[in-house]
Amino acid sequence: MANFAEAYKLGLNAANKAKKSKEEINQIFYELKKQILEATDGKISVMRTRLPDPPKLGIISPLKRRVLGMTESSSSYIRELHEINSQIDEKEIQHWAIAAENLLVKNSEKELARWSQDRGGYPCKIILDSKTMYCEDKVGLENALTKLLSDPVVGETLYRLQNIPLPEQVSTEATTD
Amino acid sequence: MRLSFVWWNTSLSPAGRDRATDEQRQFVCSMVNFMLNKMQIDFLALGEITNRDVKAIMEKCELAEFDTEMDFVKNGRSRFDTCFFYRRDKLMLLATHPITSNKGNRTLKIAQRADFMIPGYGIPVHVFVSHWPSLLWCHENSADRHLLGVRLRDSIEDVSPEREKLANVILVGDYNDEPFDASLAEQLMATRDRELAKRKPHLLYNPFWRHLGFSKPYSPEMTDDSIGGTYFHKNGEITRWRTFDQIIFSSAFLGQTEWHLNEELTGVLNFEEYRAKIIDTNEIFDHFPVFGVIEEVDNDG
Repeated sequence: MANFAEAYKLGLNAANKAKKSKEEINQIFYELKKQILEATDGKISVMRTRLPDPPKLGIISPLKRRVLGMTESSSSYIRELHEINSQIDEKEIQHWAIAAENLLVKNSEKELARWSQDRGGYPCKIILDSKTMYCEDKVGLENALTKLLSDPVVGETLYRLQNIPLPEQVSTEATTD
Repeated sequence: MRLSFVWWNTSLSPAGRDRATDEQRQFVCSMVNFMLNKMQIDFLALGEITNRDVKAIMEKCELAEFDTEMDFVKNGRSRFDTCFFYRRDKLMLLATHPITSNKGNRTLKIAQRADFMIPGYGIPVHVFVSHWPSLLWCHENSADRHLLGVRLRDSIEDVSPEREKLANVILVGDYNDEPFDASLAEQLMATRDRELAKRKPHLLYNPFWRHLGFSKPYSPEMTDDSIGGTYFHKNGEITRWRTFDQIIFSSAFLGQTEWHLNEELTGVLNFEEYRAKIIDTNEIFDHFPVFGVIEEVDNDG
């Protein structure tokens, strides 16, 4: 007979381990947020959040970029993709992301990378541009986040966010004039 | 139509360390030229290679019909040491994706994924190029070897639209593990059983199970020119031969579409002149190139 009691105990242990892993991951993101806030005088916050998927036609954009001398067959492939995509319900689909926002500017949220996490906590997955980084443990995640922050495109995004003109400043300047 | 794929660990620059002489680099260039232009290979992935080696190949080889893709950017303490050439009229590159696993302070390089489309057919093919750490850096019982297989499997499932059915996937590389090792046979699920792979489309088929031993049976009269694997370990005590270099196919190429594996044209490339260099203890070369072919077959016959 199946040993359900043993399975139940295993499940409890797994749940406990998953809880600890998730707390550890939350703590890493808390520390990340704290340090970036300190480094940007309280302006920039980095967090995990759900963002809408880009329009479906995005699928073919790498192709468009690469294929300049497009053959007839590849053109028909793209047409086919357009047709399939147009048939898909336009209901918004969301994904998890690591994003940053300027706390002084409303709706300034920008995606830095895609994020996913196993039901048990680890592994986590960060997709930065074309790079996929699996993170197997605490140090692995910290190292991957360090790579994320030192990426030039992410750096540029954070720089731009930090330097968005504040709405109040714009209106003040307008009054002065 | 036929598409041919070759993987070759050139031994030129292991872990990005430049160690080859000009003469050795020149020899690699002549092999590359032969494979691309005489054998008409459509996709050639090279391992243990650096920017300098690629530059030499681009200068010395006839590459008018080919495009090159490489990404030697540092990842943790090491960097990817693979690149590939592909025939642009037969393969259209859509994107490339380096895949790593961060565990503690180590960064394991799982694979570089290249997404292609076959022009004229509208069929996507995902090629995963891997060069896994050697047994010296990651011993045979290390949990990391399992992890390499698990994460490669995850990455394949990521590009597969259906959970129980894999996309058109071809894996090429030097896994520093043999077909029977758990990383490949268990975690990656690359089986020797072709019939089972056809019935269970979540499995991959590894034709390199048949290249574990000498290619020719023993006979008293034979001249010893056959090979017993893809890697020759000059100081091996129990065996000097290992089958580390492999090309593995998703079951999609075993009859689920009109594109099939041609197993007769899949194996180890044994060039006489190169074999002599591999056996020579003064030479750096120790890996044979391996090749695999898929072709379009009219299922209606």
